[in-house]
Formats: sequence, structure tokens, C-alpha cells
Amino acid sequence: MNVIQLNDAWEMYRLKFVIEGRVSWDNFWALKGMTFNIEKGQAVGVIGENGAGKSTLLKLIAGMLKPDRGKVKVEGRVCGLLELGAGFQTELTGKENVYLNASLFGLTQAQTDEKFDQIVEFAALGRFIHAPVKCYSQGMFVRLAFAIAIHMDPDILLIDDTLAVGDEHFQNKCIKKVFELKEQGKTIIVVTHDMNILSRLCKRTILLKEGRLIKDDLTEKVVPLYSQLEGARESVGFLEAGPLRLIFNSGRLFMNWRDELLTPHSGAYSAFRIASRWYSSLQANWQVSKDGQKKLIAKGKFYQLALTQIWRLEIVDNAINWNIEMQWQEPLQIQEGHTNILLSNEYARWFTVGEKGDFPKIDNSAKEWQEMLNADVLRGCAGAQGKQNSVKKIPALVFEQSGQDSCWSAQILNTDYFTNCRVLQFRAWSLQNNSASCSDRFIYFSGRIIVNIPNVDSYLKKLVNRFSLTAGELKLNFEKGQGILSYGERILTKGTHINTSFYAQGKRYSSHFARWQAKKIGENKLVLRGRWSNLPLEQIWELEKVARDCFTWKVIMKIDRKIEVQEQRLQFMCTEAYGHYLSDYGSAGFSDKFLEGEMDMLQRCIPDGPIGLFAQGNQFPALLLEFSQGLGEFAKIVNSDFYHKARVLRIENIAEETQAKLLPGKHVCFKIKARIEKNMQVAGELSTNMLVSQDADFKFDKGKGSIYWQDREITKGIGLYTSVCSQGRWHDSYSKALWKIKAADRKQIMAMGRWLHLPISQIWEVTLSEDNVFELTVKMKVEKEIMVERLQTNLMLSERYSHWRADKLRGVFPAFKTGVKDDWDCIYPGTRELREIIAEAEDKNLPRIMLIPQMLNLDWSLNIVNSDAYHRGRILQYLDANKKMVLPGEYPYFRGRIYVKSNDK
Amino acid sequence: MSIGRIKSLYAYRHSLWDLAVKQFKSRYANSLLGIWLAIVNPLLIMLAVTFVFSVIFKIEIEDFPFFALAGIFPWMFFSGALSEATNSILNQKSMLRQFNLPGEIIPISSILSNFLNFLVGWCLIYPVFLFFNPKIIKLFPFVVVLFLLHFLFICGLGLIFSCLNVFFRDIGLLLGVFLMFWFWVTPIFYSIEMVPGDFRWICNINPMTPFIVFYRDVFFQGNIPPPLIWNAVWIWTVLSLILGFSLFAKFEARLLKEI
Repeated sequence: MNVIQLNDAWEMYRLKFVIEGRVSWDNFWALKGMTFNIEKGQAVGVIGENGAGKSTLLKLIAGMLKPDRGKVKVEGRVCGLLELGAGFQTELTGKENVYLNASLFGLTQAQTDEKFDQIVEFAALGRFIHAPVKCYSQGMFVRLAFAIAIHMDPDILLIDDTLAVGDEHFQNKCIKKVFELKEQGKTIIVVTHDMNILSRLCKRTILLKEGRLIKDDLTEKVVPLYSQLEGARESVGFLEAGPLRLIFNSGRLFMNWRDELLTPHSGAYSAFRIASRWYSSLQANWQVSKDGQKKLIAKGKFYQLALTQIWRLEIVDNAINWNIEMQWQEPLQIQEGHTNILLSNEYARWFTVGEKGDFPKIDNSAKEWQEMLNADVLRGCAGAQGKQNSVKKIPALVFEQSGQDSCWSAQILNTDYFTNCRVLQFRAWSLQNNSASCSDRFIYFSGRIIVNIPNVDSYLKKLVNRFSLTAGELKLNFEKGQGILSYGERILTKGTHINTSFYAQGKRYSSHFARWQAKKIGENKLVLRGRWSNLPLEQIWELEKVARDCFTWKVIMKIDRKIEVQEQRLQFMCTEAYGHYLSDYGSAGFSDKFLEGEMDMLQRCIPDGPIGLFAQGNQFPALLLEFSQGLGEFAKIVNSDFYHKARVLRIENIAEETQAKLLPGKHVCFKIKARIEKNMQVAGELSTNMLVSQDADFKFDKGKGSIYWQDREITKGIGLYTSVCSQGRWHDSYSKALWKIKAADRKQIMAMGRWLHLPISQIWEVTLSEDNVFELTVKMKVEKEIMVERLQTNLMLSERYSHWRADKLRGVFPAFKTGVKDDWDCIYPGTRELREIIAEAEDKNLPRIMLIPQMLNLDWSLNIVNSDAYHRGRILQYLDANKKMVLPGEYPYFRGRIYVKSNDK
Repeated sequence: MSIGRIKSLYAYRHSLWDLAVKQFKSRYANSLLGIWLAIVNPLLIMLAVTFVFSVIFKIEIEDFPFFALAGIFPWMFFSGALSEATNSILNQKSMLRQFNLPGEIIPISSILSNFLNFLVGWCLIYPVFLFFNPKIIKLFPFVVVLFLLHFLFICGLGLIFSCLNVFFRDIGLLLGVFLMFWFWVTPIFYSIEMVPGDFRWICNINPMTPFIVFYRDVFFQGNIPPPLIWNAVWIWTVLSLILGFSLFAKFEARLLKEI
């Protein structure tokens, strides 16, 4: 049953115009030919811009206006929440006004009596209901008015943007009450600008524009249309090609595919930051001009800035070319920029080169936008597609930038809960150099949106193949300052992939943030040149195919001006499918756990043999890197943090400080050979580093020896180690040297360690000479003349060792000194005559440890030392405290035995 | 059409009454004298008029103060009600925006509230007249009829004025002067017989003349009014009502847009 019928209703106002004192009258049609019916119990929304005729329409239905032409028929009692509190007599009390208003709404005294308590309770006025209305605060006034109106039990309720009254609590109460009335089957007509309420309350919505009914349909169809069309006519433009329709509206870009709006919120827009203020393209005043059927040019003037943005939009097939140019009167410093596309949340999956994922559901705790990808990595494209087996087909869509030479990087985000959209974004940080170099106009951003990609995988493949090098099945693709390594169909790298970085002028520079150009693209060789905008240098990458499944990677620095460059790095970030690493210093498995917020360095290697990664099964072939000695390279094998979840091979250049200052010219920094080993034998048994005897065992690990007694460690902390003091700094064998096991069997371990910062290396030989006796021989090799102050061989034992003996002398270890930082507390400085030092514990389960050096000369002494309170260890020390210059050559460093004997003998 | 409007007005009779009562109440809110205000004004004017005409100009009318008061009192009701009604729609346009009411309610409720005020005043002052001339008690039924007719007459006039005032604001602005002019040409503090013959037509075409004469008869003189006066009162009331309602009905749609 139709309770409201409008049949060609027209409503006119006579307006008086006074132009420079001359009066003229004009007829203005507020509503033109309004025709629609509303059934009983329907909730209908009315939307439109200011002046579209919404309020006039409500007044017409309320009977406060009569149509000038046509007919309006309304059945039932209408109650309009049009002007809240308009009917109040301010001199009267709230209660008197309730009765007065109720009677004006047509209620009898008795009916009002019945409702009175409810009204007072709803308005939450308390005793103020008995005070004159003129004393009310604005909020109380409005609350009372709303409470009265909503309790009048009308057949038809008209609400003119009045739901947004009072505080949030009261708003919710009002909205709840309106929902209740809807449940009760009242006919409700709502005029609102709140699309959220609208879509919750009304199934049907009427869109008005300039007094005409534009659309009368389901709310979810009308609202997108409205948000696309609102605004001045000169700032709106259309482009259409096949199923793709593009609407430009005041600095926003809406995309429709087969009449379905893909960008339901604010569409696509651009924003930039000058000083600390953000400016959005929505703020500009836009003027659209069309250039042919497929091209659109829009000029947006920013009021606050002497700046104009010019957007050029063009549809080519299913792609939208989007070009933004900046034009200004005076140069401005643009610090940061974003270009966003806000997509409907029906897009469930995202993708970019080498990475893919699902958008998580945006829950109501999401107050800020959330990034899907690591923000440190530059990417050239961002894409989204719908659910895998969804009935509703939404086109896969990708946002990519045109050209490699750009400082923009793609990011994929989820918005906050209220916006509830997916975002494909390009962002740029270092725009200021860019803008300063150009005079008054420059291309700010140029990108492309491709809609309806039939096959995402083949699209990504094509994208990746633009700069690539193929060596057998191994393939290297270059994209935005990084190399992506793939083998067959599998991508071996992830995250930051293969990139370089270095430290200069107090800042770390990554290859991702350089502008790259291809210098040479051949079948077997790829030469790329990258430049950082504010550094007097460029990096050249020479990638060359050597053999099948093998290529070299050469990194050259070309320096224009003398500059200090440190910590040069070439890093391979590989997929976590690689579960094992190998190197000359031992091979092992990666932990499955990634540490939160920090990298877990597993091994350091000097360039003697290859380092590599391998995985169980043959899906991921072993990847091996060989690096060259002469360049000062060394490598680290690292498990990444939780965020990246990757295995990292990092090659670093440890040039000496004098070499850090690079002179103009070309310098080779890295020369890496990368190859695939298809049928690598996974070493089942990792090379042994244990000496096992009856009760005592010895374990060697990277310059540190640990002793175990009946499988319990009796050493502590850094255990058995050597330490060299040169120029006031200590260099421990465990932390400052790289170690490699030369040979090992059950009786003997031979290891070589090279000090990182000293021209020293040591060779340790640990031999199980008899049961529970280990013989240690250390030889020191000096490559260059060096000044050393102290040389130590230390054995750090558990704090449970409470007594010491030095030949015939006995003593007790005192408590650890607190507050003495990194300074061992010497308890007994031994003399030259001392033959042996012993540590004992009261605990009978702990063996007696005896250190007997066999090679004593005049310079050496034996000491008994307590460590600091941090290490809490007892130390048996062998020390040479003579400062001396050591010439290149090989020297004996230490020879002696460690006896581990049961305590009860 | 007018019949239909009167019907809908009847449907809103409760609202009309409520509005009038509320207005009547708010008139005396925050006032010290309260309902005594209803007679203070006419009494003050009576004193002034008595001073001017009885003391200075020495008019030969017996019991001049009561003679004058019998005219001034209904005139004050008339002028007060009419000026309030004239501005009522503009003053209370928010009512018409908020409620779907027959527009007539607004001016009529103003008049009604003035009428209530008048009745209260009358209750206070009638004993004085009665004391002065006990004969008039017999004329009480005429008083009731007169009050009703006077009220309806003002309603018709109020509708015309209030409606036109929306379109021509001059009416509201000139009303004060106009009412003063009208006051002087109505035989309130002089009797119609005192008017020279050549100018007596002015009094005769003045619709308020028969009303004032009627009032004076039933309050002061204690005569039954002559039929001529009777008929004049009737005719003016009906004319004013018909004109008022039809004018309002014709212009209401436009009126709603103007406010």
C-alpha cells in the first residue's frame, strides 16, 4: 500500500534579487517533476547536495508546502523532525512544552500523559523538565525536541539531517530509537549526509540533483553514484571505454567496471606534504577539460599554495594512464608524496613482484592504515584481486608506474575500520631534490592503472622480464634497484631480494633508493647504473652470465668527488624454504624461529670457499656464492627478523679505514659468483668439532672452547679463549676473529682463526692426549708489524668453583666485585716459578681443573682471576704482559695441558 | 473550501486552546502585577482621557470616567489582539515549519489569548460597573453575545492582516499609527451625537462604532441596544469572517513559502 504518492510534483519559490540596488524577481524551481511512491513500512533515504531540494521534498510530504503543480498524496499522520525545537515556547517549562507540542502533533491530553515519562527519560533532563526552556543548554533543548518528536507515534516519520544531534551517546540512542520505529513498521524518510547511517537504515535511496530525481534505487547502488557526482559541474569529467568508466570529480578518480564502482570511498587521489602539512588533491579547485573521447585534462589550483596540479588521464584499452604535473609560481619543498587508490574491500588478495598475500579482515580496532609490505623495499607495482572462487567477478587491478627512473615506490595497505578499503599506493620521500632542480613545472608522478588483468601470474612474469639475465634455468631480473633471482618457476629471493647498500655522509644508502638506468642490455650481460640524487657517486652493476646456472655480479663504485664510504654491503635475501646453510666454517640448519626485531647472525666467513643455502627436497636448488679474496670481502649468514622471515647472505667489504675515503675513479667493491648446485649432497653429518673422552669432553666453536664433565658444562661464558691487546683494545678469539675448522677427528681438532681488525691469525690444535686431558697448542701468525701489549690464554670456569691452588698455595675465590666494568679482578698474581694452577669446587660432582703450561719463558705468568659480576666466572689465566713490537712471522703462543680430574682422588 | 478549513480548524481546537492558554500564561511570566495588568492599562488610559477631556476641555458628559472606560476597555482588547495577530505568523513561523497545522491557528490563538486576558480584566472591572449602575445585571446575556461577536470580528480582521503582513511588511510597521488614528475616529470618549452632521458618516462606516456603542449600552447606560446597532454588529462580523477565511485560504500556500 502506498502511503506517499507524488505525481509530477513541482515546487517553486519566488526569489528576489537585488543587484546594485535594482530589484528583480525570478522563479526558482526547487523541485521539478517529482514522481515516486513510498509503501507503508519502507525506510527511504534522500540524498543530494545542498540545495538539491531535499528539505523542500520533506516539507511537501509533511504538508507544510503545497505543490505548485502536480499532486502529493500522503496518508497517515506525519511527524517531521525538520526543525528541532522550533515549536517551543521559551517562557514555558519543559513539561508545558511537551504537552503543547504533543497537542500540536495531534495527541490528546491523555495520550500525552501516557508518554510523558518516556519522553523525559529519553531526553535525560531530570528535574530540568520543570524549568523554563529558555534556561536550557543547546544540547538539552535539542534532546527534548527530539524526544518529543520521536514519541509522537506517527505513521510517517520524516528526519531532516537531525540524527546528528547531541553527544555521541545521545546520537546512538536516537539512531536506536529510529531503528525501533522502523521495526514497528513505520514509514521513515531520512535526509542525511551520513552514508553510514543511510546504508544501515534504508534499503532504498532517492538521489536528488538540482531539484530533479536522478536515481531511485537500492541504497548500495545510489550512494556510489552520489559520491561520484557530487560537486560543481566544471570539476567533474567522464571517460568511458568498454566496460570501464572513469569519473573524475574534484581531485578524485572513481573507477567503474560494468556499472560496479571499484573505488567506493574517496577513489584515487594524490597527497603531498610541504613542511609539516599535508595537502590532498581533494582540497584543490578543479577545472576539467576534455581532450577527445579518451583523454581528460584537469587543472587543480590549491588555494593555500601558489601551486597547480595538472592531471592527464587517458584510457588506452583497459589501462588508465595517470600523469600528474606540478606547476608553481615559486619553488616549494615537497617532502613527501602519496598517490592512493582506495579499493572496495571485496578485493581480498594483493600481489606485487615476488610477493603475494591475502588482505586481512579490517576489524574495528583498526584506527590507522596498516601496511601489508615491508616499507623499506622499493616496488614498481601494487595489485589487488578478488577472492579466488568468488561468484561475483571483480576485475584484477594493478597500479604501476611508468618508467624505471622514479623515486616512487609501491605499497599495499588496509585502511582503518571506518574507511574499510584496500589501498594501492605509490609513495615518495626524497622529492625535494627533484623539485628544486626543476624550474616551474615538472612531472610529479606518472603511473598506470590496469583494470581487468586476465592472468595475474603472467602479468607479473612479463613485468619481471623487462631487464633480465638468463643462465640456464637460473634467471636474474632487475627491478627498482634490486635483483630478483628465480630458478624455473620458483623465486628464490624475497623481501629486499638482492640489493647493495653503503654508509656515506652519516646515512645508509640502499640501491633501492637510487635511480637506475640500464646501460647495456645484452643476452649475456646486463649493465645497470644507479645514482643517488645527493651523492657524488654512482654504482654500476655488471651482471654477466658465465655458464649454465651461473653468473657473476660485479659492483663498481664510480666516484666523482672524494667521499668517505663505509660498510659496503651486498645482500641476498632468500626465501625461508632454505632451511640450511653451508660454509667452510661449518654447516647447520637455520632455526625455524625468527627473532622479533633483530637479525640472528649465525656465522661469519672469510672468502676461502663458497657459502650457500640449501633446502631439503629438490624444489629449491642449492644456491652457492663464491667471493673474491682480494677485495676485503667477508660474509655473514644471518637469519632475518620475524618481519622478513628470510635467510640472508650478506657480503660485506671490510676495507681498512684508510681505504674508506674513496678517490675519484672506479673502484670494484664486490665480485660475486652465484651458481646453482642441482645435485648437492646434503652433508648429513656436519663436520665434527668435539673431542670425546671418558668423562670430559671438549667442544670447539668459533674461537671458543667448552669443557663438559659428564655432559655438564664446567666452563662458563666464553670458556677457553685467547685474547690479544693492541693499542689499548682487547681482541678476543671468540668475538673478534673468524674461525674455520681445518681438520677434525675424534682425537684432534685443528682450527684457524683470523682476527678481523688485526693482521693476526692463530692456529689452535686441541688434542685428546689421554683420557680427560686436553693438550692445547696455539700458534700465532703475524702478517704485518704490530704493536701488542698483552697476550692471554684464558679458561673461564663456572662460579661453582670456590677454591684455587697455585702449586702449594691455597685460597678461596672471593665474591664478584660489582661496579667494576670489564675489569677482571686478579686474586693471585702468579710468579714465574709457578708450575700449575688449579680450580676446585666443594661439590664432589665437579672435577678438579688443572692448567699446566708446558712452554714457559721469562715473559709469561700464571694468574688466578675473578671475572666481573656480569660474567661471574673463575678464570685460570696465562698472560704475557710485555709490550712489544711483533714482526711478521709465525710464533708459538701457548702450549699446555688441561687436566680434568675427578674430585675424590 | 472555507468550510473545509473551518472543519480542520475545529479538529485542532484543543491545540488552539492550548496555544492560547500558553501564550496567555507566558504573557504574565516574570511579571510583578500578574493578571492585574489586564486592567491597569485601560484604567491608566481612562485617567488620562478623563484629565484631558473632563478637566481641560470640560466635556459635558455625566460620569465621564465610566463613560470613557466602557469604550476604552473593549478597544484595548481590539487593538491589542489585532496587532498581535498581525505579527503572529511572522513571529511564530517556526511553528508552521515544525507542525503541519492549519495556518489560521496562529493568528486566532493570539486573538484568543488576548480574549482570555480581556475576560479576566472584565471580571475584575465588571463589579465596579455593576456598583455604579446595578441595572446592567439584566443585560448580561447580551454581554455574552457581544463578546462572542466581537471576538469573531477580530478573528476575521486578524486573518486578513496577518496574511497580508507576510507579503507586505508595511502593514505591521504602520499598524500602530493606523490603530491610533482609528482610536480617535471611534466615538470612545465622545458620543456619536457630538460629531457634527457633515462628519458623522465617518463614524457610521467605522465598523468599531457599533461595537463600542453596544458595549456602552450594556455596561454604562444599561439600555438594550437599538436594532440598527444589532444589525451592524452582525453584518460586520460575518463580512470580516468571510473575507478573512477566504483570503487566508487563497494565500496560504504562498504564505508558507514566504516564511
